[in-house]
Amino acid sequence: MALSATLPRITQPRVERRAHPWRALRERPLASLGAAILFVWLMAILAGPRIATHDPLQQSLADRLSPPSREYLFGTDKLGRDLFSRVVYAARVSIPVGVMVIALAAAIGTTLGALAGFAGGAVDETLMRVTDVFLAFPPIILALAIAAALGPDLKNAMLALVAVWWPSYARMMRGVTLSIKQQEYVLASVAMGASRGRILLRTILPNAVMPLLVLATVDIGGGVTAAAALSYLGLGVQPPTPEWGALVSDGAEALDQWWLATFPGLAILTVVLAFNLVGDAVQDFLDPRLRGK
Amino acid sequence: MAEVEQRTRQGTALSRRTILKLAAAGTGAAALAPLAGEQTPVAAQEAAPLIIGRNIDDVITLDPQVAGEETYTIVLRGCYDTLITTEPDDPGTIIPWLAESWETSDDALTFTFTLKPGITFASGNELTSADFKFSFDRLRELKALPAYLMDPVASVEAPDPRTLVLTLKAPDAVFLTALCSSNFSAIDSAVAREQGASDQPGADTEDAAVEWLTQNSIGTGPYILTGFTPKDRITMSANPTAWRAPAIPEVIIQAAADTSALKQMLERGDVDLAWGLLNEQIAELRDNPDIAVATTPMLGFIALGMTCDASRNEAVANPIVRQAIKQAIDYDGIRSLQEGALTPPSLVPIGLPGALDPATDGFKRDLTAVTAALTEAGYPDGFAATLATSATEIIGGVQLSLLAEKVQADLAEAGIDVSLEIEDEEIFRPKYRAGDIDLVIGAWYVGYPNPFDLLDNWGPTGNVAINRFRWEAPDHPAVALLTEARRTVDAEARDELVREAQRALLLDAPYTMLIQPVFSYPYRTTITGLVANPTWNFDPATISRT
Repeated sequence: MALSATLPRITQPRVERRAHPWRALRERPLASLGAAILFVWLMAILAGPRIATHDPLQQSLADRLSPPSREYLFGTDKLGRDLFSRVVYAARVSIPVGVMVIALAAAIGTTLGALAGFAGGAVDETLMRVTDVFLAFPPIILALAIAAALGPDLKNAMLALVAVWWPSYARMMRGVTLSIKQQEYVLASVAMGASRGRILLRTILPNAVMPLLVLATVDIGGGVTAAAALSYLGLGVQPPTPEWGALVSDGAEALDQWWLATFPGLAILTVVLAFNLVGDAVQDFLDPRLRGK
Repeated sequence: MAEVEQRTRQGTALSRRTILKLAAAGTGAAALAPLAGEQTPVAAQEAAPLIIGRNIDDVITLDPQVAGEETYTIVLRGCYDTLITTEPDDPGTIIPWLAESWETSDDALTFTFTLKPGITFASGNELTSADFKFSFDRLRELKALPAYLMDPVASVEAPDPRTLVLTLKAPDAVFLTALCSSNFSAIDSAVAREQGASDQPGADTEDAAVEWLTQNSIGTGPYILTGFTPKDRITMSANPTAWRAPAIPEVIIQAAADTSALKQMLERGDVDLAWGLLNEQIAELRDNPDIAVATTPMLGFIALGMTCDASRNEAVANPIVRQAIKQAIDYDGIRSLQEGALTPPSLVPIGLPGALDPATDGFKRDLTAVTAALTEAGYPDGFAATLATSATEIIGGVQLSLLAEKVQADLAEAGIDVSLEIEDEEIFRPKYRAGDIDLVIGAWYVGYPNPFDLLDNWGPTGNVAINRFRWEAPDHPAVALLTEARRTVDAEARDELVREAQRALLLDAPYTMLIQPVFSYPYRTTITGLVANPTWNFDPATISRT
């Protein structure tokens, strides 16, 4: 159809691809630092078994609670397991979990938010009241309650986090949808007889990608922290699988063995910091109003 | 009593979790209530209350005829008295307590106790043998966990106010020691009746005093229970009419958020003593010049239990597999978790008469034998099982969840794929009691210093073996041996029978003992008189300020 071929062009006003992403990174040294840290952790995830110096599950009771040394870079835990290897292996759990939680929450929230904004009326009312209910609770407390009710398990912890995270995306998406709905190019496609589904998918969604991406990149750090928090409280990953939050929890009981909580804590710190730095850069880059500030 | 196994949760995980849950319910502030309000100026140091740091999540009730678990031991020791007790620093010697003397009949069936004169309850009522009769009958009729202590008793009579006559169903060499259990304490029967207590058949449904006795005490002990706030604190004040006065008139048992907080409270001097710290934390405290550590060997064990119920786990229920599991555990490694810890081969802990010798009778790790046994049983490639334990239980400084990870790794080397179910006390405990487990790590220590406390509960006819491990072995050779041992007056012959019974248990019992740790109570040197005891932990009334 000739008409449909013209529609994508109608969506063009959204992004002005002036600056190249790499140049943008170069102009922001902090963002480059963040990207570098993320690259290091990506390598740790991909090449974990090669980087780790020991089997992360191998117990060696004779060496329990050894301080950091040449043999055990980050020291050993209460069962004599090598903490360095455990921190490296834990990256394979903690980071993907944080990313997946945000990805799922964004997917669900965006869909429902767009639906609410576009359909309006009773659908909008119902969905927004549901988000109100979720937003009425402090998120981590609600996640705790859900995770505790479902039982301690990684999947349940992720489910709980997605459950508390999607409403913010739904809210954001609804607002964006409402404002885009009134734009002339949308009215134009309505006038041209485009179906509602088509307008939603081809006209509104592409224009909402930018704020969505901004919110998501800034949120990933929070996702990693929240997942670690649930594990810290024993509601996430179950032993012996190493996970940063659980590792910090182990260490919190033995403060004299400073290395137990410090190294996994630093791992969380660097990853969250890196995601936030990169997230800020993405935000600057995608939001022309902030560019150059 | 014996059921001290639902025990301490010094653990950090629960505390943190609980606090967050409480916060969700809007009561977080109460759980986090600072100790600051309790601080007494230095000038009033003499009168400063004794503050015991301790996680009290295990306290369900403080009713002497119902209480179990662990914290209750010091509360009952402080608020109530038994007829007889053991020397605080020598559990083998029985001494008079509220009874000034006793006689045993020639047929060893009747015990006649004469009470000390002039002992009064906090209410002012004089203690009579009728109070003991009421208490003992109530213990039996409430049918709570410690009720089994009354099983050997045929009747309790109070012919005159100072004489109590106990008649047994059969001669019992163990009974006198069992009477030292704090569940045999006397309560003020007049006040108890006013509060709805009953000693009549049907008391298990009609008695209405358990709740009240969790907030109040009606004993002859040096203290009166003045308050109990769940998960926060227990308070006791001196009993003005007590026959033995406490050195420090006020006692506060204060919960901490977790073990590291508890340790810091002790280091700062916010608490006088900390009960339930981790092994590693106690080791660190030993370097502190302001802190001393009282210790006593645990008269009990932390054990790995296995189900005999094939509908739960067919592999674990196979006796050959269970024996293989016993040989797959790295006992030497587990013992190295704590200095001074022991590995009892079977139910009787080392230090009690009738214990087996770990050098000759204990299991040794032998993975070749394990592989052979698993192949014979039809599991050449191993099998999967769950291992449940409490997330927060710490026994003698040893964290049960840490042991679970150790056992998981040991069994993994034998090809057994164990997944852990490390759960909150309120989830784990009912599951364990109902036997809803494949493998489990649990602990038990004596409520009176005698091996039969363990043998009665964990032996083939004991409630733990039957209900938790679903072991049906009424004809097990150990049953006859133990029945005979109970009737044997000669100590050496009795110990030999107990040893023989345990050797029989080694062959097929659904459990193996992992470790017998040491109990440690680190305290500030500003207090003195703390005597560690393996059954009641310590007596707050003997502690004074230096």
